[in-house]
Amino acid sequence: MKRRLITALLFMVTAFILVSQSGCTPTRSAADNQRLVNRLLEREALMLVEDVAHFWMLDHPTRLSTWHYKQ
Amino acid sequence: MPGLVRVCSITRQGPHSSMRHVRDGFLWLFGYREVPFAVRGLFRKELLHMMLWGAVWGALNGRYCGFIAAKSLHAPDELVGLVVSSIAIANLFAVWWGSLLARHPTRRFLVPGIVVLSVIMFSFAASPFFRAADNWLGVIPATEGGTWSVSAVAFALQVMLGWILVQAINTVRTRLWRLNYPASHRARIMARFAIWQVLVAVLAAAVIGSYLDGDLRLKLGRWIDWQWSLRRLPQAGSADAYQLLFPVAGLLTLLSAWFYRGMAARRERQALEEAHARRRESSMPHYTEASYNLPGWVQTLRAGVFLGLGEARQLLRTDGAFRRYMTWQMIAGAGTMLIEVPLILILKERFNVNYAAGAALLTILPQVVMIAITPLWARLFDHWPLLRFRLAHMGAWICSRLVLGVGFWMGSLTLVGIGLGLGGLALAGGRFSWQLGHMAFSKSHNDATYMGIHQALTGVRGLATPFIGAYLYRYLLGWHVVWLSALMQAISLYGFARMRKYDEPRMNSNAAGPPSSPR
Repeated sequence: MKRRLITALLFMVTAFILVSQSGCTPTRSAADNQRLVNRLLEREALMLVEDVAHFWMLDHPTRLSTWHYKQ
Repeated sequence: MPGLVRVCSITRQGPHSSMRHVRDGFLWLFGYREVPFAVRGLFRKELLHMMLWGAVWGALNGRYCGFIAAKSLHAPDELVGLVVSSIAIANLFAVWWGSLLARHPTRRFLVPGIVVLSVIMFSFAASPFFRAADNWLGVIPATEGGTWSVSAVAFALQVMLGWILVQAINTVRTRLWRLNYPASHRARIMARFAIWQVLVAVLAAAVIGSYLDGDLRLKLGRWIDWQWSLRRLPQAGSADAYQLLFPVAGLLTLLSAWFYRGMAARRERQALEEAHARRRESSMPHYTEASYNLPGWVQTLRAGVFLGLGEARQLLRTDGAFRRYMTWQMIAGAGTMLIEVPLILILKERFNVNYAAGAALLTILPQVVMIAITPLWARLFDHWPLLRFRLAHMGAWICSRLVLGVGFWMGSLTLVGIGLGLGGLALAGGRFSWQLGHMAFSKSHNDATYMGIHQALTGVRGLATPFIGAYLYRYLLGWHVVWLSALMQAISLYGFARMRKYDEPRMNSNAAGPPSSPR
């Protein structure tokens, strides 16, 4: 009984540490949320700019590789 | 990429400034956003093509060509009417284009078609020769002003031929979209083409208009009123300047064909073979033993004329859902077109608006609203079933008609403007359901035939309804014709709602699902 209690306690402590350190806790502040949203929006904007650049071949992956071989 | 991003200051704008939406929308027009990786190469060719294609659209604009025909060629009313309705008449030929496309690969028509179109555009440079013919042969005065002359008839024929080719190329292009782009992204891809086409067309129309006037004038309220003279440019300010400008538009057309080189249609051979197999096993009319005795050109003509019509009849007989959809769309489209001519007459006679205000209300305002709202409709079209989209779209039309009616009743130009803006909103949605709607019924092998039927029916109602509308306005209903238009649209709304109940389970879904994946 005692061993089981201690095992359960250890398990709960480990779970608490893992969950609290994983960043998935529901205890995120509003500022944290805001920061996350900002990061997502910035990422979206970067992807948009990247797509425009690829369309106009400013930084096209295939073009870069052929450029490398042509040198 | 990181290097570029660091240089690029556009991304530095804070994510919560409202300018972000403007910036994103602007960049969205210029790149690959929301296009699947597999078709980005094809999309690139097509978007570059579309950036120039609008020039033809602006130059051959029916209303404006009618204006040129009346003003600089003194064409009689019949010819002006013919020029104005040339788009509708060109639609009538679409059944044959569709049936041709169902048996030949698209690459045989796409670039050659555009090249022929540019030749027609170049042929406007030959107008001085027609003028010489006028002097030599003389002209016949018409009853209500204007004269029948070789040059006016030639102009009308040129515009008509141009529109026939434009419609043919549109049919080819729709087939390409069907084959190339997945249904889940089709409307969002097409939205960019539509926006570019309208932008360039408006620009071309503005350039041609101000060139014919001889000056470029920017007047915004009483604060900004700038005027630049273009008199130094060749033929600027002369009524014959279109002889110079249309060939320039033709040059842009030729360039746009160059961007289409190497355009591919994915799995086209498969679709053609499938269509061929189906045609062989079905009871559709095709070559029989007896027809081998006929000379070759007769066979070709027979195939072109009768096979197209026969296929269309067969298809409408077998596909009940599409038949019903076409019926309701016929009523909706007739209701929409009914008011086109009365609108111009009402603005002229009831409100006495001047030419600039008329142009702003009739063309510029709806098109600006259209450009602004197109991406939203595109997203809805990709994520909603077709009939749900149609319901929303018909709702927008009815709202526009009701606001217009109240505006006419109260004599308020502001309300009429709001109604026309709402009309532009509905028109933006109509563009998707008009160009892509048939794909909910067709398979990829008979897609072009469906589009052909749809276009030909549009041609039929375009040929009849504007004149009926003008007659109703003049002799029967007066401005109350707008209620009739709203009523017809409400009837079609009811029809689509019924179809939604009975036919929707058997239609193709666009299979997009919720807007989850970022690319």
